[in-house]
Amino acid sequence: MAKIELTSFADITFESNKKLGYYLLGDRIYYNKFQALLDEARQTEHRVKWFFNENEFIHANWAEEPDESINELYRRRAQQLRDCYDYIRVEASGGADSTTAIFAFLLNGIPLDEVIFRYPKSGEKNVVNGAGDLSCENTLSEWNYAAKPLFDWIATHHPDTKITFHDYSENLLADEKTRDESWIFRTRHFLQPGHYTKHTNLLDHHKRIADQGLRMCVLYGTDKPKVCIKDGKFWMYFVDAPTGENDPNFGQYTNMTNEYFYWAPESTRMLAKQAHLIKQWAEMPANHKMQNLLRWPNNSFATRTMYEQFVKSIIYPDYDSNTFQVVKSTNNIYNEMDYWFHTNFKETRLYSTWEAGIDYLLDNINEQHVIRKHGRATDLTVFQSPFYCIGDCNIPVTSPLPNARPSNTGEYKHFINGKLLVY
Amino acid sequence: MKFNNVNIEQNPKLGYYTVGDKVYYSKVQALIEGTKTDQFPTWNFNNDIFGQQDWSVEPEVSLNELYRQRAQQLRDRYDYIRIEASGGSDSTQTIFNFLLNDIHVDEIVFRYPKTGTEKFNLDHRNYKCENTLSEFEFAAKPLLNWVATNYPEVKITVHDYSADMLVNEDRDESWVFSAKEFLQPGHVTKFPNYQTINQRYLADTGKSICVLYGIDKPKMCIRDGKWYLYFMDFQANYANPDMGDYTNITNEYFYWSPDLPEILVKQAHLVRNWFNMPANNHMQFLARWPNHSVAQRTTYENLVKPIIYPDYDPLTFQVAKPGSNFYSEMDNWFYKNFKDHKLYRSWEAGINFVESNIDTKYFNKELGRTVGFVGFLSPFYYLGDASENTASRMRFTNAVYDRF
Repeated sequence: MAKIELTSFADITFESNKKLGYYLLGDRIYYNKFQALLDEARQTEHRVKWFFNENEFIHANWAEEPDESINELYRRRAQQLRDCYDYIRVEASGGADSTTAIFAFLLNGIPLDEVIFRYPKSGEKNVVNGAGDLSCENTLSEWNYAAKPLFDWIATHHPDTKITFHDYSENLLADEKTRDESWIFRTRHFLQPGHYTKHTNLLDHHKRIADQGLRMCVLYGTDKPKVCIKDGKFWMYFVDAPTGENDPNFGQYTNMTNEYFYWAPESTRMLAKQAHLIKQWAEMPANHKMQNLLRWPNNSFATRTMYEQFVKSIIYPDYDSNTFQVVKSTNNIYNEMDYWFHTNFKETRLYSTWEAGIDYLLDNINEQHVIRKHGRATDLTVFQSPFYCIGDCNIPVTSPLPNARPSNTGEYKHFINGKLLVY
Repeated sequence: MKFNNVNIEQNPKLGYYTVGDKVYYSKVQALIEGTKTDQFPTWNFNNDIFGQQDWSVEPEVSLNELYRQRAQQLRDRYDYIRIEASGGSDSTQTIFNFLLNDIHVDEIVFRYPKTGTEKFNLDHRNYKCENTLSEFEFAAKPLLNWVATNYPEVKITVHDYSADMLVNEDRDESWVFSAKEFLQPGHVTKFPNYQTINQRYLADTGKSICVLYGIDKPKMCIRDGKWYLYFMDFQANYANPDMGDYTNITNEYFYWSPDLPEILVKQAHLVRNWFNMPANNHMQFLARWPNHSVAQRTTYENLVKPIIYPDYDPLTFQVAKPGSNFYSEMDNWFYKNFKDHKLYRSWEAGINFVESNIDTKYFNKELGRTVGFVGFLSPFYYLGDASENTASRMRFTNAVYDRF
């Protein structure tokens, strides 16, 4: 059956790039999650499904650890991207993922055209504390204590790389008077106030480059591998939330493309290597009892955050884990990271437009997709890929208590060496 | 029953506060006094004894042997030992420390808000804090069954504390004085010391009674390249301090005790040794100071559990820790099922009372809402230097790292 692709809505053209993941509702393909969820609520026959490079991932050799070092695989990915594009811009946060992506180019002598940091300069009043404050509300300090030192280093050692500091609060304010709730279609998952202008692809100097016809890559450090132990096996899987970081709107430009450095169908060897490094760490005798860090299900914020904390030091050998980083936010809507917005923009039209967008979405999608905390909406459904088997887990656990844990964790799709098992 | 006449246990081993020259065993009282007098309270947690301890030398004796010694020490001191069990690692290892060494425990009690959770669905796939009640089914119950089978002489009690909450529904806001730190709806009725008939009957016999808590994992950090151990009042304030008129009931912490500090020293060195291993060295950032990061603290605790609790199965079902001491996700059952109950109003009155009578600087806030008291710290006790594996950084010594 032929499928219909929905590639635009509310004057926004979505990048129709299946590598970034897409949603299916009946015979309709969506590149915007909210559009898919809104349409789902208007009918009862179908449910939204998320697809993320399943064909490539099903056939990947996850069970065998690649011989190359992880740094060599990072280098190859950087070179692969360099070979594909005329202009590469890395969206840098100062965090482990994007910093390692930058290192993969620059430490291997692979030219990188631009590194950009997004910052809401107009919103920083009274909300930037010192390096001793790791609370999420102090997120703007990541510029001073994480991103700026990195950018200084790039400026000194790789002066050919353009460095851009983008004040995205300017974009927020620019069309304050004309914006309506349709801003929600400018974002793919994240509903924080500034997100839809944060990673804009259409800054003047980017448009000028695109106008020259150069092939432009907008590169995100998406994301750490998700590895878990379930039913006596190590598995890798993907979820859609991190794939919603990018700006899907390229206007009329067809020579701009979003890319994920790690979660790409071209990167399966790198992903497999990362997964095996994590597996090896868990299999070390001194770490046998650390399995709880990889437990399934991991649907609590704490477990997921804990996993990310320990994994980054295993898979990113060049990243200094002591780099300043605030705590991750607990909420996709009333996000602690947006303290600057809630503090400095509370009485503006901008604020009410943001709220109108949230209300529109929450009022018009199925309640089952809304995650609430104490009655307040905090997030939307996160979709998950099948599990891809990395290998058996034979880690012994000795305890006086036999079978102290539940065994059944629900029904999922699993692929073991390309074969589908549902249980 | 009202809470106006709370007799707080005056047990300095559990920590106390000083405001000027006044000593308080209730944090609420100390903060009210601190507000009135504009004097910042100080917290003392066995500072004298811990200050004299040599923390830098790892005891040669094994951790399990130290656990056995502590269990025997308590057994020798008390006629009746009741362990407050949650099914979590701290209290489960405490139980093992007695039973696996053939040291008798009189009673193990699990507290469970059964009446309040009639509408609650158990879910072993949900590790969110809101699902805390499933810990009974999937963590505590298997443990209690194991105890019942292998140690039938141990009394096992499953206590429905929401039933007690309903009995005490006429309480006023003064209930806050019977809580030292945790103003969550159920906390003050969760751990009765003398309020039940059986407890009073037992206490009236004159036996010395130990109420034993698995408090707590060692808190450690790296500051200026050195490992330190420290204590925080949150954990030390966990026990119910209300002993009524009874003087023969005592709260004890199995791990955080001045009576066998070697346990803490040994635990700390095992943790330090693990982090000093080349394969784990890069995770030292999880212990860095300051550690305002809940994520890093949680990860640290989960790494530490298997190191210091050798008999506990870390895959045992356990939900995430609550994010707040006032509005815990653990009490979701209360917010959901008791919203229109006068119990809810008295709980809110208590929260309003502390907010009205204590300076805002003594509160932690989350998105503008008061979520708990600020924590008080002990001194830092020096354990040894942090050995850093610089292999991964050497490449950047002249390039990146110096600039960070």
